[in-house]
Amino acid sequence: MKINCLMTILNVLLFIAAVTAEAEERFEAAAMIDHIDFVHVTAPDGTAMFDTETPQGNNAILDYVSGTGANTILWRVSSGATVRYRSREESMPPVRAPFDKRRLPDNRHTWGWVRYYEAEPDILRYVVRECAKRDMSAGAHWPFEETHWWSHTFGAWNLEHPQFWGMTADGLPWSGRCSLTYPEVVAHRLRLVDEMIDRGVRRFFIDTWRTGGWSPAYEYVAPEIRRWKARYECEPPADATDPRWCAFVAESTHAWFAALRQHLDSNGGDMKLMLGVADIDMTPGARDMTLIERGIDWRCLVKEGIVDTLVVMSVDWDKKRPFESTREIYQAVMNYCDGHCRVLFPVSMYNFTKKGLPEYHRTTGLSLPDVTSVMVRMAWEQGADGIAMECVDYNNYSAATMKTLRQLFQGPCKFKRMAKSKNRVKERTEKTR
Amino acid sequence: MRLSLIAVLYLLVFSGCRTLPPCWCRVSEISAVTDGRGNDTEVVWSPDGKSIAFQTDRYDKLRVCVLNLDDGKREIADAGTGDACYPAWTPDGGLIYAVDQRYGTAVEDAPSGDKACSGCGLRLLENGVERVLTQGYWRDYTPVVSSDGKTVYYTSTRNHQLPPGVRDNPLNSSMNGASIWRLNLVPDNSERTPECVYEVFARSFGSVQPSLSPDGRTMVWAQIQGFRQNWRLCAAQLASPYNFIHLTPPEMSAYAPRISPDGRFIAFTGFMPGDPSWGVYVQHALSGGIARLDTGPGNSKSPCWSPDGRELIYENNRSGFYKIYRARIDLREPAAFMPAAGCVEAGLTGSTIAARLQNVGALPVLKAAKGEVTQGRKMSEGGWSFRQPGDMVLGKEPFFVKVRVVIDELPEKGTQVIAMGVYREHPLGWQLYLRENGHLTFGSRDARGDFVGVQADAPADTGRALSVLAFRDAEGLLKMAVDGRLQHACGIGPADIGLHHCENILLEQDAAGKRVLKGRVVEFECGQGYPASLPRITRKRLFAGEMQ
Repeated sequence: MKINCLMTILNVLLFIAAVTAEAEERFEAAAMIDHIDFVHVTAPDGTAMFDTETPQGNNAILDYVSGTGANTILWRVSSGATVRYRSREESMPPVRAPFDKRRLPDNRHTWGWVRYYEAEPDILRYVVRECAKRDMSAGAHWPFEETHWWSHTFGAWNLEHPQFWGMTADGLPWSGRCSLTYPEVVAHRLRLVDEMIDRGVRRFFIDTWRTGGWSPAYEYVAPEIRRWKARYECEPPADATDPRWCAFVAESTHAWFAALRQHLDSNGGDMKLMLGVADIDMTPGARDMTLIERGIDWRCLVKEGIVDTLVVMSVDWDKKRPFESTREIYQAVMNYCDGHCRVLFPVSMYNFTKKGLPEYHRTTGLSLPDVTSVMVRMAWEQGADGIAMECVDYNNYSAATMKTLRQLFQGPCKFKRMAKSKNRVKERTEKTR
Repeated sequence: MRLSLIAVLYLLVFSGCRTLPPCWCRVSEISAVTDGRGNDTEVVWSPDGKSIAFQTDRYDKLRVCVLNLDDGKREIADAGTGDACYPAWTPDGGLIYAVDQRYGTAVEDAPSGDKACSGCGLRLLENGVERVLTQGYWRDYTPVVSSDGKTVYYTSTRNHQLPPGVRDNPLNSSMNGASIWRLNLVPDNSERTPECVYEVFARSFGSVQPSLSPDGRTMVWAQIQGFRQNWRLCAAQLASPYNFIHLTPPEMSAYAPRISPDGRFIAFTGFMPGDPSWGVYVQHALSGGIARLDTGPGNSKSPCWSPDGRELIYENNRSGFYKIYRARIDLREPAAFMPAAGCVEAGLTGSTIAARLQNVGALPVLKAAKGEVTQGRKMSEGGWSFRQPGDMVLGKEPFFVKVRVVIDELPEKGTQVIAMGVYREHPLGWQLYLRENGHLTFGSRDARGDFVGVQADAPADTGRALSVLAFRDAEGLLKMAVDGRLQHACGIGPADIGLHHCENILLEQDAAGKRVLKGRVVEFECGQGYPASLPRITRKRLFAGEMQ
């Protein structure tokens, strides 16, 4: 009787220990999806495989992307500043060509005729719900200040408010973007955030790689110049790549991110802010290209706990030591972030930076599936919270690569390498706001 | 007091027109013409002055409405077959407008056999009957009818449509552009053949909303030359639209022009840095003086003249929606000639040849205008180098490069240099070359050192001497004429680099011995200003009938 009692107590204690032990966390496999890239995919008989303005078409995209084993979808919510859902904020003047004479039409076959902003059901709302049904996390992939290098992506609110347009050092306004230094512009962006929240978005991935034309060169607006002069008592440098100017502009972009953070927190719930940064070089003294070309100090945003997740989109690895140098950069990033935020490392078929999977493949001679395996495992081994795939288009990750990814995410990389200690990730609730 | 008055007068006379008080241009008696929900925009005044037509979104789709100004009665004019927009009156009271038709998604609507596809085409409404003027898998919009009623001019993306699966052709991009077309309005449908008036294929280069002078000789339109530039008003003789001038400065965003019934003024939508919003501007066509009208709060856009020129009608959003407003306008000739800042008249300066190629025996020399001679040095691949040539200071002023060249073979790969100027300010200060597609190209740099170039319309002929005249005008615009014909393209953005210190002129190859011309340069001249052979366009020729 006594022994039975002791055994029961022991079992109860073990059970309690098991329950209270920290649960294993899933290793995140985030897939960036730009659904417009699926428009021209055809079956052998010539029919379109993905009508991206319809629920069926977007479902088919999600089915396809699931083949990578992705458990997070980051859905592109805009082409430049023209949004891809039915937006009240961006409804006047009409975005559809040719209803605004200031916006030249997109003349591409089919691409130039999609009307995501008029689609029913609302694309973003639909995709978020679908992801929930599939037990996938859904987020908005929102490029930072993007124009995509074409004037047909200039936003409606943007065109209607020239008084907030960016300005060059020689006094030329640029209609591509309104400056974030103006509170009215920040308020407009936050209204866009509200529209996305209303559609169920809880994760906001701000991609600072995709600026499509914007840079600190367009921040010579009156409020910034006044602010500069008040501080330095001289004219701002005419060279927009001057580190002092870029750091100065970064203060304003920082204010935007801080306002966004506060806005997300005030909406309650589990809102997450993810920041995408490219060309990371952690070598001491190296030029921070995100600061110079985008006027964003990502390091500061991380240290201040403004971002929940740092999405590393590419790193400046050494071609003579591809994997070794990548590993070193990953270690440096993890050391720097040090629990201030989660970290996702890249497994990217996009190769604009010449640092993606194709470049590793060319440099090492390994097959793409093998390179992919190395990169996923490396991220996992370094203690990252996951990886990000940029972007998953049709067939850019080959069938063999997709199989490799699936096997990893369902097998050895299903959970993070180590459970986070309670102090490793500073939870939102621990911070005073 | 006297000194203050003098100071004010001084400012009035010598300051830029945009800072001049609009004493020559005033609006008054502003009143709303439409109200209620929905946005009423793109208003135009009927030829008899009794009605206006505009587009409205107060219904389930865009509709064109006609409103009687006397009794305020409004009627929907279009047949409801799509989103109707951009109305324009014909002299006999008919209406032309654009209708954007969509049947399904972009994938469903893509052209396939005889199936109807998406498109925005023009319709003519006459005597209650709507007829199709244009339609296809493109966009036709912003129509305007000539004063004799025989022709409609409009914006079209007809030739800009790319084939399926083609994202972009960077060498000759048309994917984000629009051109100006016209169509004869003859009773018999079979005789209606659209004709392209003015087109340039370059990324984010578009020409929109033409407006014609009362005599039909001059065309004014809005143009954007690249996605980093602003919309600007351009003007040209209709007979030679590629020889255009800018009417508005680069720092101003200006579009939606309408020439007044007497041809002396141009009303348009504009924004200058420092303005609170979009506004209605008026420009005195001959002098270039511009004034922003005080139309009150909100954005004011897309003005249109009354038939007698005494009123303007436009859209304004002070109420939260865009509504139509009318205003009386009082205009006088500006007291002083005061061109708007940045609007430099083309062709007012003469030209000076800085250097001309001459053969002295077997050795070519560059002879400067003042007589200085620079010996040519034969280079590794047979080209010629002229080091430190004198008098090649071009500054930021207009300059030209004139060559006669025989091209034996077009490039298969890479480019071939015909002539280039190496400057201390930039090693590629200017270049005339053949690019991979066989098109002659003239390139220079902007103030940041970025490339600006203009390409010929077609691949160059081989086996015969070609005359090429490439130049930079007073605004930094690059243009080119081949065998006397001005090419359609112009450089995107100003090539406003200052070229002061010439280190070398190279002919037939570059300094590294590459990009070798398969041919020979027969004649070469380079100089400041506008060469004598270049047709010059001035405001007087455009707006006052002055003959060339």
